[in-house]
Amino acid sequence: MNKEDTRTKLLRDETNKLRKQLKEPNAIFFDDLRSYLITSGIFYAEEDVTEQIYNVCLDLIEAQENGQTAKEYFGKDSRKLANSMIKNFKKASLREMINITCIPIGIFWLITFFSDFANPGTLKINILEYFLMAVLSVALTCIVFSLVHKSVYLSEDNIFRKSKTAGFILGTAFFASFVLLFSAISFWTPAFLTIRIIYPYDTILILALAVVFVTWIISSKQIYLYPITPFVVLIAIVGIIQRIPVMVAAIGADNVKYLAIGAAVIGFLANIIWTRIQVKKVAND
Amino acid sequence: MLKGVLEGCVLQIVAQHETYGYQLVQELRAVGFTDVIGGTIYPILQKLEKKSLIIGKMKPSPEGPSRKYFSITPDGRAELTAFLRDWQEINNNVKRIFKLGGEE
Repeated sequence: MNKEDTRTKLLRDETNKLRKQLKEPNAIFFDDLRSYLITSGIFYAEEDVTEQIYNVCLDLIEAQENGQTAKEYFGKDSRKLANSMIKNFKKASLREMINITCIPIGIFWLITFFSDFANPGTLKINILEYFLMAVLSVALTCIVFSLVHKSVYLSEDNIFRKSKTAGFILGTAFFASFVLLFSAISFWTPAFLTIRIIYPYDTILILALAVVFVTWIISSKQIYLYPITPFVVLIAIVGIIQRIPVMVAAIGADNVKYLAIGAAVIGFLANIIWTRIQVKKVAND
Repeated sequence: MLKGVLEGCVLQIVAQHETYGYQLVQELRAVGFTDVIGGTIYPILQKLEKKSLIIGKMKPSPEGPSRKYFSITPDGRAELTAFLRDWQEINNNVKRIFKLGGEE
């Protein structure tokens, strides 16, 4: 972590501690404002946004101590006022923009690569498929940010505010569309330009990638990436087993196929369960 | 125009002493800007900082954790002088119009 990232993390942790001092209506007001500001865009300087939120929290606490509500202090039309703040946020540096873009692309590429590896035979990397996955990952990140941003200050008569079912249906439809698109890219992208990596280089490469990835997320405490670790590890193990002739002979070719499917399903389920636990933990904190 | 006036007032307060968002709002309310809210002041502070007219530094506050205190920069002082000159000119012009209106 560089100096800016460390400072951003410190400010975020400090804000979470301070937020506990806010009483119920003020805390809700702050949570909405924070969500709205954080999701305003992925290309604003994270340090600047986090610092603004931290200072607003401190000021709201002081206002509360002096008998003012958050609305009285900050203003009733918080959306309009928050938009004025967003206009003045500093833009992210080139390094930050590359980092922000690389994280979703890296995750999608890693999943695609490990899925390719789980297939029997020579490891084939379809360049066009990886390009489309990169586009999908950035688009997905922007859409999720935008949806969360727009959902913060919904009007009282908005259907998604009135009905939880409507929100659930939209969420499910969005998730299903995304899975369909992901699968369509995986299965139907024409192989114009394909890189072949033969045994044993494919096994060495996947082993090295899995070790580097797991070491990186554990050493740098990338908590939000913990849920995909079981998927990556399981697929890597099955992929390696598939490529070692002695292992295939011992387990049986058909059984290896079932093992691959089973590993993918278990990895996917572990990802969902772990993510849910993390979301609940964050919500409780 | 009122926003410009408010920016000038914020600059003047910051020129007098280092201050932070909440304190600034209270000072503006105390002198008569009773409608001023935090939501109006934060974008002004951000804008002035972006233009390098003020500078924000995290400092330990007497009440507890560190917070961002703003102080004026040399560019900010020059801007404040320009604002005062413009304001006096507007003030004189308005006074002249109302005086003429009164004579008619």
